Amino acid sequence: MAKVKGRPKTGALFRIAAYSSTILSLVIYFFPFYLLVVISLHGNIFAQPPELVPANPDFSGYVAIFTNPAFFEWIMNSFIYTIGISLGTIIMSSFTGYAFSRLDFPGKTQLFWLVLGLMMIPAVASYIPLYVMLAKMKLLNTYWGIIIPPIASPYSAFLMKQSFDAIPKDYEEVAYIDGASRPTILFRVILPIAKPALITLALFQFVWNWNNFAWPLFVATSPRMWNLPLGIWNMVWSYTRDFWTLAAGGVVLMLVPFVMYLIGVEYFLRGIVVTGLKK
Amino acid sequence: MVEKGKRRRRLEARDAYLMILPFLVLMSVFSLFPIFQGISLSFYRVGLPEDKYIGLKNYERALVDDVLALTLKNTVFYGITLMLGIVLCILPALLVNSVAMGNRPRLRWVFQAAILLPIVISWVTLGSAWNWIFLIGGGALAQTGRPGAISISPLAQASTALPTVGLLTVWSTLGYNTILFLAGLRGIPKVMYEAAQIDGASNWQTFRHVTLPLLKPMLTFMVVTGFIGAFQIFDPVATLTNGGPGWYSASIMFYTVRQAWYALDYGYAAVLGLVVVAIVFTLSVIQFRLIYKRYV
Amino acid sequence: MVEVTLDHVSKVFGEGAQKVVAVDDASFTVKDKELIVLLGPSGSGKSTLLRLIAGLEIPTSGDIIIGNKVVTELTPKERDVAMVFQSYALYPHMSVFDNIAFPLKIRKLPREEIKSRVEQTAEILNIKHLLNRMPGQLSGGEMQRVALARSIVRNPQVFLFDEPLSNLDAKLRVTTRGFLKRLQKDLGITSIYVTHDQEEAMTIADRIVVLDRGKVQQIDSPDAIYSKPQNIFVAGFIGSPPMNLIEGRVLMRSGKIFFSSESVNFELPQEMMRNKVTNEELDKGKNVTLGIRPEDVIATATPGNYARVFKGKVYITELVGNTNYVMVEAGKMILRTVASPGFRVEIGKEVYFTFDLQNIHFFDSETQERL
Repeated sequence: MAKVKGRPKTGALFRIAAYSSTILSLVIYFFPFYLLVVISLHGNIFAQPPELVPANPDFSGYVAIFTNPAFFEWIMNSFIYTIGISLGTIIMSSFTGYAFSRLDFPGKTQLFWLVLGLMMIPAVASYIPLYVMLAKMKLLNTYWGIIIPPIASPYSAFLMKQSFDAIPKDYEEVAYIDGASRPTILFRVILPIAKPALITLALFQFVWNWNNFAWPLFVATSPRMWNLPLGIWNMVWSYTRDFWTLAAGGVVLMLVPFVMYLIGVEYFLRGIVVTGLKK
Repeated sequence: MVEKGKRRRRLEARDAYLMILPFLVLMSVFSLFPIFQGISLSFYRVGLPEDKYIGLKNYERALVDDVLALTLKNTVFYGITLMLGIVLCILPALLVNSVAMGNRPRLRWVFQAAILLPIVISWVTLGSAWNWIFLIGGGALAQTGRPGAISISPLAQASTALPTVGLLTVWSTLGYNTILFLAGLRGIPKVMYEAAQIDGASNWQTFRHVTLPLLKPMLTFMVVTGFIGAFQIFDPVATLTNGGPGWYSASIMFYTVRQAWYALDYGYAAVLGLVVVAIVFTLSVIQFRLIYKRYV
Repeated sequence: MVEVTLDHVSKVFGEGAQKVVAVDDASFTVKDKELIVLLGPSGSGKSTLLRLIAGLEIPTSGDIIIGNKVVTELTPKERDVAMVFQSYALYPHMSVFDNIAFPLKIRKLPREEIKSRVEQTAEILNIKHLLNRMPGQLSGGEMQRVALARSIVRNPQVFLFDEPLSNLDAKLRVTTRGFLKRLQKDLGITSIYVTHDQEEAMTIADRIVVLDRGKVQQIDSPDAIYSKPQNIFVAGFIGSPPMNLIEGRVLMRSGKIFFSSESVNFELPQEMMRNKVTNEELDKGKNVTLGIRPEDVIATATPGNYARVFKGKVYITELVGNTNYVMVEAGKMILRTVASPGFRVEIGKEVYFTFDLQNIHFFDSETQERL
């Protein structure tokens, strides 16, 4: 809406509203996490008034987590799955996206529509038949079984294709005329230019895979192969345990994405805008 | 005319196939094939000692399944809630945009950073946190002894579980949608506002005749996507209420997973999964047509 | 000796309803060390032609010969050509030095040689002080010189330029034009240059290839193109402000030849039409278009004692530099003329104008060709 200069009254009103909603959003959005941290430290929130800054922070919950072999395994698994799937997806979608963006080959249009069509299928729905398939392939409950299937993500391939489309062809043509071979062009010219898109993809992939517990829910049949979110979720809903420990687990779970978030807020913001607007 | 450049084209195609082969293979096996597997699965009762072919029994069951009907209803409710939530996001976006446009770009940045947070956090954490908040809130209210105070969390009560989960889902996606709107608003050239100003339009008129029309394509797309997204809701339900009480807050995707994972009834779960896929696919195609026809 | 020959080259894009003939049977030879300009409006096929020569596209039919090698199906690398793009296409993630060195690096030349050649080239183009900068820090003119350096450092057989000056502001364009021409002469490399700016073409070209909708219209030196345009398109395209084109007829009445149109009517000397129009045509009357450049039409206040004088009314005037162009309404047409020195012109006033028959061009209105 137009800000009419010389109408300070309305301006001030808007400004107050905007600032207060920003502060409000900060509160609404950070408070739940803050509370979780408090709980994890054994802050007595049932007291009247609730103890929002724990008087005697108790780290026993965290100690329990880090000494519990199950938790530790879960955290390890989380790292393995996240890094594995993310890396695999990035590499695969880069090559595929480049091919769709720049190269011409018979069957290209049909394949593209296939990818688009597959994008529209919700992932969770395919987990079920995948479970059965993986069981038959004897890949259930294995690292390969968890890491490989999500790598061929139509969505990521599509994203990378869009990103490559946005890069002017001039750079490749100059390099081509100057005598560079296709691999040289891809690795020394295109990929460096596409770095922001790659980083954005990496961040989103990382966060998504770290938080994803529906997938391992199906494929990891033994608790030893669970990742962290799955582990915590199971404990919360299967039997009531030490709530404080679980809260601590939640905080630990949140740490990794939170750190990535703080480092790469710009990339997240840009990623949302780019993927959202491109449609 | 002689076909020139065959050699070049062949080389290019060869390079292309090399690059996409791994992707094609994996995608066919793990994304395409499961669809067929799912269809075939739907005709079986999966169990020990072996799968038994039962034809359309699973489908018949689906038709009379009350829980399915309930979860479908829930999911539609979520869908509508999400749509409303999206539309509501325009307001804060407008607000922040108009002020930030003037002289405070920092504000927009802080605002966006704050509302984006839930997106990167797992629902396991979010669910745990919100459950705690409601517990505290309920506990605090109960202590005051006021009549009608809710002593248990709204997530645990049959009447309020569904709307609460819906609300929280909207809360978590607010950030994403508002940011998109902000970007969309940024995309409106400032000159349009200035022209409206010169023409003497009031704030409301400018909104109705300049901002809204320019935002419409984006709005439409987001709203439809939001509705479609409801059919994929799993995480919030699983972590906030685990579907409960009973199935009162369960989404259809949650029900599907439950059938597979807990009841171990993969055949039936396959049917449910297919239902979801069919619905989502149809809606997506409609959306595609809508956008394409009107705005391209 | 590097000549570039196009032998009946055509390029067609798309099929059926979406078929586009970008280049239609182009044939010409670029001489050794020549700077030839491909000139034409957008869509004329000039860029496509350049890309065909570069090897970025392959012709639908015809052959391209560079040096003495038929390169029609060869990759750009095998053709040994270098190209400067309109956008310069400097790799944004590499320093200026690395940008210029890139073509040498991929040929795996030894580091010392790369370094010395890059620095040498940078010296020629006056950008030695920029070698460590990133493209994002350069001005338009600097970027252009880096793009040039990248092409030169390879010592290619042929230089290709795709509207390299279009992204520069007007003043810079003029100074860079001269610089480019000089550079090309000093380096002595056969060059093909694409532009839509006819002024640019006229100033730097040894010869110009004028293109319209994929077809070659005329290939000649700038002087010849200016003074002897071969068809109406070239006549109207070259020259700024553009030539006046008057449609009319040429016919014979009572033994005399006249030109008649909706604006000017006058008698023509017999020799003028001698080898161009037959007597039958003269009897019937032939549709011709008369062309005359504004600078050859003088507008004056009084009829004076010119051989041929016409009357008209001043429509508007344009002062460009120290030339006052007067748009004169004559009959149903508006002609662009030049005011005679000292003539004060007012809009709406009556005015006389005249021209010398030496400067007239005639074109067959049907074939558009020069008579």
